[in-house]
Amino acid sequence: MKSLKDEFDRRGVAIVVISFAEPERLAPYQEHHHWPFVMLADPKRIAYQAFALKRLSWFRVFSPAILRLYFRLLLEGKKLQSYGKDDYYQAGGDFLIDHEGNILFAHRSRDPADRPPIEKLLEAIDQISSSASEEK
Amino acid sequence: MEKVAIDELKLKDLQGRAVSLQDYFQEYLLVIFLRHLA
Repeated sequence: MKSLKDEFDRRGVAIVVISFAEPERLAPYQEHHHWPFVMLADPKRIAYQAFALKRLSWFRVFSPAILRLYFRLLLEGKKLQSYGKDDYYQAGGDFLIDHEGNILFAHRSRDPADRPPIEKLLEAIDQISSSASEEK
Repeated sequence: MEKVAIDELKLKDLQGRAVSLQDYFQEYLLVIFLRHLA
């Protein structure tokens, strides 16, 4: 995870992870996982709404493909951690923004397993940096 | 291009203090929104 962070640092990209959980629930989560990223809380989901992240439909959350994925993870020994009440219908997402708040890259998850691969994120960042350099 | 008023987002750090995304930038900022804690 640290080397992954280095890849983003090298490109001038800081990473912030946002959850709608209350800060007191996020602290033990961060303590357990030791993510090398800043974690912030958005319990009123103001940022979720600002980035147009909606709630997923029941079918998206519990589709056969997603249930197969969870079943496979359980077979691999992954354990479910409980950090209190969760909302399984809230969509997540990944966004690259600049200082002015311009969204340079957006990926809004269509189902629980839908996240952009790291390679795709790095490729997008490289393209954006390259375009920005040409404009200067 | 989509734009977000990042100064208006009422975020909190793990100690419950109000913070702004502007405090965490390098040249760019990758913002990852979680679905749930797992």
